[in-house]
Formats: sequence, structure tokens, C-alpha cells
Amino acid sequence: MTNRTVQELAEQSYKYGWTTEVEEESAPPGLSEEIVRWISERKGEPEWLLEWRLKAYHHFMRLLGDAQLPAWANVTHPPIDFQAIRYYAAPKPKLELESLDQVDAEILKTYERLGIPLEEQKRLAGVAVDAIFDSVSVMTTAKETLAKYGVIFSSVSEAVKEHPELVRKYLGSVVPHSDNFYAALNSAVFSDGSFVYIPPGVRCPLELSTYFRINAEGSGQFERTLIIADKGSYVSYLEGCSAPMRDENQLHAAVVELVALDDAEIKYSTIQNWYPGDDNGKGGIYNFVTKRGKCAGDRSRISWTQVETGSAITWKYPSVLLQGDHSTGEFYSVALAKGRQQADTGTKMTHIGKNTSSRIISKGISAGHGNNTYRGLVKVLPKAEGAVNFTQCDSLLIGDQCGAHTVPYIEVQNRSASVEHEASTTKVSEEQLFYCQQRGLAREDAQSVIVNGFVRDVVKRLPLEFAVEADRLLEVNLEGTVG
Amino acid sequence: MTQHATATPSWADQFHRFEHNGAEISPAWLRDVRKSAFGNFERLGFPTARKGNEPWKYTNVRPIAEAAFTLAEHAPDAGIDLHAYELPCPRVHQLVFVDGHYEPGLSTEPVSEAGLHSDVLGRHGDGPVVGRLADAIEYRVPLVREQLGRLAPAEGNAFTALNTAFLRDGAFVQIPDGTFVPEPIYLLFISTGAQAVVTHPRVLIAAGADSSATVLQSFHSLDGGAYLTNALTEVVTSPGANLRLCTLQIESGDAFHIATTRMEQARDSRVSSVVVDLGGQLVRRETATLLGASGADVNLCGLYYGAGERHVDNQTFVDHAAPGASSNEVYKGILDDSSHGVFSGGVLVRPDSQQTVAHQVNKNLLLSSDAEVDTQPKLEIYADDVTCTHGAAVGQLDADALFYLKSRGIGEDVARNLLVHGFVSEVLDAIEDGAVRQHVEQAVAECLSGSR
Repeated sequence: MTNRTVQELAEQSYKYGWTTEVEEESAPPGLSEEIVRWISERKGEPEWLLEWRLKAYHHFMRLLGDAQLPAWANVTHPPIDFQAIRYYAAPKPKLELESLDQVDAEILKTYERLGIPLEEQKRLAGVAVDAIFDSVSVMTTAKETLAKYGVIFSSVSEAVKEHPELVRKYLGSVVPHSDNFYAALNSAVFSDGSFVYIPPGVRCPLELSTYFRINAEGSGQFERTLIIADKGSYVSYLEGCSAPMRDENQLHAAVVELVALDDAEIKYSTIQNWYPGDDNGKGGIYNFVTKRGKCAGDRSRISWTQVETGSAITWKYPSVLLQGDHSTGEFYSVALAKGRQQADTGTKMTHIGKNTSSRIISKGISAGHGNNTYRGLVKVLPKAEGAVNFTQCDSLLIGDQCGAHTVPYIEVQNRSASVEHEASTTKVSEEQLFYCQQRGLAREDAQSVIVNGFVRDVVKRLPLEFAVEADRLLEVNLEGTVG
Repeated sequence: MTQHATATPSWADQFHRFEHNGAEISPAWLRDVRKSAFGNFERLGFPTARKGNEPWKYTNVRPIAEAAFTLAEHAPDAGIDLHAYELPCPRVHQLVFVDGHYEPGLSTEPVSEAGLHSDVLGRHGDGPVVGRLADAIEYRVPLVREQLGRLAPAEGNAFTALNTAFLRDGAFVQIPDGTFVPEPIYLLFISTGAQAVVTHPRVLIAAGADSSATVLQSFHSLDGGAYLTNALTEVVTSPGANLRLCTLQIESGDAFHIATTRMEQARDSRVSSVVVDLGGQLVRRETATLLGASGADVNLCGLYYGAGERHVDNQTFVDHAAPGASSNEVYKGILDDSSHGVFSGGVLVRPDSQQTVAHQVNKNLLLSSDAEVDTQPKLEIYADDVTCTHGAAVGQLDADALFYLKSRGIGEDVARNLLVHGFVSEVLDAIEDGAVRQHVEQAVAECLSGSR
């Protein structure tokens, strides 16, 4: 293991690093009111949406002007030149797609290489996929099946045209454009994303899934996902990401909004494997994402599960606003930082309604020169009678050059609340390794077994096919990192 | 830190007056230290709770920044009855300060020049030196010049800068190498409670190699008043020292209490610190230690009780800068009425600080629906062979436990008191000296029963 070159390892550990030769249509680099208008026009958006974008744009420019970039995260990176980014890139030609035959063969090949069940026959796999290539949604499969149940699963741009009343009502209702720096940027220039609406009482028959791929050079990706689960409905949604290997840092600033009405449940799972940069920290994706769910209705439930193995920098706090009485928020996370990766991730649970509960399980793994930070906030507002929270965040250190940090905030304003937080930091113990080796496992395999055990609490929350992928991802990523 | 909007001309005036009124007999080095500290204060201004200023996120010192405090004048012994503050043991090394001024009539330790002379200092087997810091400065004790302000630099903290700028007196405690001091060293700071005065008590403690001692600092008030105590304590230990520190704070309910403790620990030294905050309107206490060599061990405990509108903010920081050091922290809060408790505990494990053991717990009991707790246990770890844990909990008295006691015929009030007592005892039991523990326990019991 130790004799292999860094290059070999890098190639091996990131197998999604190729690019696809597709003709791209893209906006010139830079951010201006014209670009925002251009994107909006390109997508044939109604006037209200353009105005919404412009409001966000002006807010963003104000923040940028005041240099109000978020500085509190435990990450370092050179200043981002927001004028050097191309805010829109799309495969060309953009026809109205009706069947798979019309999708660019190169793109289909891309997804095939990524192992996404995009093709017709793979519908049987029970997954409906919306694939976002650079900025735009290429196609959404299994539409008919979903239509039978009244489930709307489409790209946001399509939803804007077909269900403007829903989009208008909920877009920005959970993450307003003024929420934070990157949310403002996203609101101004978001290109596409997935839109899901589950009608009352419907249990979505398929796992819905989106695959995000950054392909074009010098572009950023700014997608926006909006999921609404109406009363008594259920949906499980998966998202995966990858990008080519490039020397430059590309910006990914997405916004995800979830709304769960009375008795509804949303399960949102992410496997994030953006290109993390090479071992010297060159290149890689800056993953600055705002994800938030609102348990708007009583007894509603939102659960975030994430496996974060990629990105040069991850800055992501999937949160839940527990507004409805008896609502529940959950956050399960595995974050891996190796090489020169920096991950600052965690969650925010805001208890607003009565008898709300939240549960946070975070597992951080640091290896190489990676730095992993858990940053979380549990807030119990004065009216939130009977709020219960349990938080556990464990860190595993592999090697002596990495760092693991835990920064939880607990703010309690109601005495009936019960809030518990536990955290621990350790390394893979020699005893455990020895035990496994003694039973004939190679040291590396032994470590992989132990790491899999460490993250089991989280990975078992993932849908089966994702769980397998997550295990494999961790294994591949940890190769050569025996401490 | 960001500058407060309001300028502080009164501080500048006062510093000017202070410099030219009694303070000029100080040695030149000290005058320089003060001057540069005041420069730092002017540059920093009082901290604000503005966005991005994390250490001050929950604590707003605007009432301090906006008030005009004057330096406390020396009020000669006003017939203060020390009986209420006496420790239940036959012999103590006691220094008493009234409004920051040394009170020889009440103190037991008249220290002579000979006692502070450098060739006597630090001699094996001698008793402890417990004296005025002003004496130690005047008699040119080298240790003072070496250590004063070294652990608590004025550059980054406005209150530290202010304390150093107005540094005149305080306590100087030195335990010679190999000395075991059986009786407690008692530093008693009494405020007469005059309105709008400020005191800047300064304490320097140096524990020699393989020495052992207990130091109790106690802050009291004779009368309710909106005064400011801005205390600063620096603690240096030599290898193998065993130092037990305890701080009891029962200031007036209108008072502002800012306390900063900076410690540095040498190889195999052990420090146990117990802080008990029962009074004050706004309390901000920072306790930090640098575990600079292997085998260093620190135990930080704290108890804070909030009633009325009290705001108590405890910030701890443990810097594991060497391999094989250990730290343990237990902070507990009881918050009643519309009080506000804040805890922020930082643990930093630097690269190569292998074999570190660091544990931290913060538990809070909310007794009223208007009370608020903000707790933030932080771990920052850059070494892999470590065992670090932290935990935080916020809740109310266990309903099952209450029911259990009541079912055994114990009245609700008594049952509650029992449970609260059980909750605080983990902290108070960390006080090793029997007399000091008894004294503090009594103060806590009085405080808790008086409020119910």
C-alpha cells in the first residue's frame, strides 16, 4: 500500500473524475443583473419569479459589498471570485425531451458509467430518477407511474410552468433568500432542481432520486430542490452527486427546502461524492449547501440522512424547524474528511411546537490531513413545551495529521425541555485492529470493518442500494489511510 | 472584538488621574505595562455581542460599557465584622481587601520586606508567602516582574487590559518548593457596595515544585450596589505542584462581576479549581489553563445559581499542548426566575499531544419557565491517540425521583431540596479541603434555601 504513488491512489479513490464531451450552452462568466435576467428568460420564467430572483440578487450583492461572507465555519479557502464563475451551463441542444431516445447519447453513457438506473428497463428497479447535468434537469423517469398516484416529480423549471401556484406558495418559504450568503446567491441564479409534491394520504410508491453531475469547466452549480409532502403522505428521496477531476475549485451552492404538513413524513438521503481535490488540496468542489425542512403540520416527520465523502470543502447544515405539535426531526450523518478535505457540517433543530422531538447522530471520520467539524444547534423556544432532544456525535481519527472538532450549541428557553448531548473522539484502537488481524484480516480490511461498524447507526438508515454504495464509498476512500 | 459604539472618555480620564495620583511611585516597568495595557483597552473597547463575535454571543456587557465607574477610594476599616466570612478552622492565612484596598487590621499575614526578599523566597521547607502584591512589587520580587501579565496578556481582552492598566494591589501567593501548606490560604475581597465604583483585584499565585496548598478566593458585598469587580488571577505551577483553588462569589444582586483566571501547568502538576457563583447581576467568568507538559492534570468544576435577572456566563478553555496530560470538567447550573446561564467549554488538543484524556460535562437544571440556558461544549482535536468526551444536558428535576421521595412521606419542598442538593454535590465534593468545603456548602445552602 505504502509503495503506491499518490497519483495512483488519487485515481483509484475517485473513479468519477472523467468529463463528458457534450456540446454545452452556457452563460458567460460573471454575475450581474443581466445574467439573472438571461437565466430567467432562457427558462421562460414568469415575471414573479424573475422579480424574486432579482430581489435575491440585490440582497446578495449587498452582502458581497459589505464583505459579509460567512466566516464562522472552521474551513479555510482562498477568496472566491464570484465574477469568474459561469452561472449557467446546459447540454445543447435543448429540445423538449419525450423519451430516452432523445437524450444525448453521451449523457446517457455518463449516467450509465455512474450506475444510475436512468434507462427505461431500470424503472423496474423501483427508482424514479431526475438527473441534473450541470445546471439543467435532463429528464425525469417513471413519470407515468407517479402520475397515477398524483405525485408530481419534475424539474423545478417544469413545475414553474405546470404548477406555478405550488411553486409560488412554497419556494423560499423554508429558506428565504435572505437566509444566508449562499442561499441568496442560489435564489438569484438557481438554474434547476427537482420538484416533488405528494398529494394528501399518498405513500409515494417509488424511491425518488436525483443525480447531480457537474461537467462543464468553470461553472458553478446552483440547483434548488423543493419537496412538499401534503397531509398524511410519505416520500423517500435520494440524491447523489459527482463531478470531474479538475484543478480548479468549482462552487456548488444548492438550496433544498422540505415542507411536511400534518402527519406527513419526508426521508431525505444524500450520498455526496463531489470531487474532493487531489492529495495536495488542488481542485475539488466547494459544497456550500443550505438544506432545511419545515415540519409545518402536527405529527409530521422529517429525517435527513447524509453520507459526505466528497468535496474539497463541505459547508452544510441540514436543519429542521419543528413547528407542528408532536413533530419529529432527525439527522443522521457520516462525514469523511481525508487528504486536504475540510468538512464543517451538522444540523439545526429548532423546537417551536409542543412535544416535539429531535435526534441527531453524527459520525465524523478524519484521515490524512482532513479536518472534520460537527457544528450543531439545538434551540428550544419558550413555547416549546415538552421538547426532547438527543444528540450524539462521535469522531474517529485515523492518523496524527488530521483534526476532529465538535461545536454544539444548545439554547434552551423552556424548562420542560430535556436536551442531552454526548460526544466522543477516539482513534481506531490497536486492540480492535489486533483482534481482527489475529483472525486473519489484513490490517486495511480490519480497519474497514471497524469503520463500517462505527458508521453503522447512520448507514442502516439509508435505502438498501444506497447503503451498499455508502459502504463501498467509505471503503474506497479510506484505502491507504491506515493510521 | 469590535469597538463599542460609545467612547470611553471617563476611563481615559481616570487612567490619567490614576497614573499621576499615587501610582507614580511604581517601578518604571510597571508604569510601562499599565500604559500599554490601557492602549490595548482603548483599541479594543468593550466587547459586543455582534454577529461573528462568538465568545460574546450570549453576554451583553453594554450595561458595563455605558455605566461610568470610578475607582474605589480607600475607606478605612469601617468596623467590618468578619465573623460571617470566617472559615471553620483554627488557622488560616488570610488577606482581606475592602473595595480593592488591603486591610491590614483584618489580615493575618503582615509580610515584611525580609519575608519577600528574593534569597528567602522559594527556600525549601519555608512556609508560604501570602502577601500584598503591592509589597511584592515594591520589594522587587523578581518572580512578579517575570510572571505578571505573562499568562494574561492585555492584547486580546478588554477586561484583562483594564485590570492591568489599573493594576495597583492584590494578592501575591508563593508556595516554596516542597512545601505542604496544611491551612487554607484565604483571600477575601469585600465590596462596601458603594454605587458605581470599580475594583480591579489582581492575584498572582506561584506554586513551587512538589508543593501543596489550598487557596480560597471569596467575593462578598456589604450592601447592594451596582459596582463592578474586574478580577484577574494568574497561576503558575512548577513540576509536581498540587494546587487546589476555590472561588466563592456572592456579590450584590446589582453588581457586575468579571473574573478571569489564567493558569499554566508544568510537568506532573495538578490543579483543581472549583468556582461557585451565587451572586451578581451580570457575571462573566473565564477560566483557562495551559497544560504545557506531560502529566499535567486539571480538574475544573463550577456551580452557578441564577435567580432574578441574573446572567451568569462561564467560559472555560483547556489547552492540551503536551502529550499525556489530562483534564476533567464538571460545570453545573441551576437557573431560576428569569435568569440566564451560559456555558462554553473549549478543549483544544494540539498536534502531537498524544495520550490526552479530556472529559467535560455541563448540566443545567431549569427551575422556571422564564429561565434560559445556552451551552456550548467545544472539542477541537488535532491528535489521534486521544480519549475525549463531552456531554451537556438541560432538564428539570426528575419527576420520577420526586414522586419516589414523596411516596416515602417526604414533603414536596424537602424532596426538591434533596434533589437539588444531590445535583450540586458533585461539584462541591470536588473541594478537597474540609473547612473550605464546609464554608462553601453553607453559602450554597443559604442561597438555595433563601430563594425558595
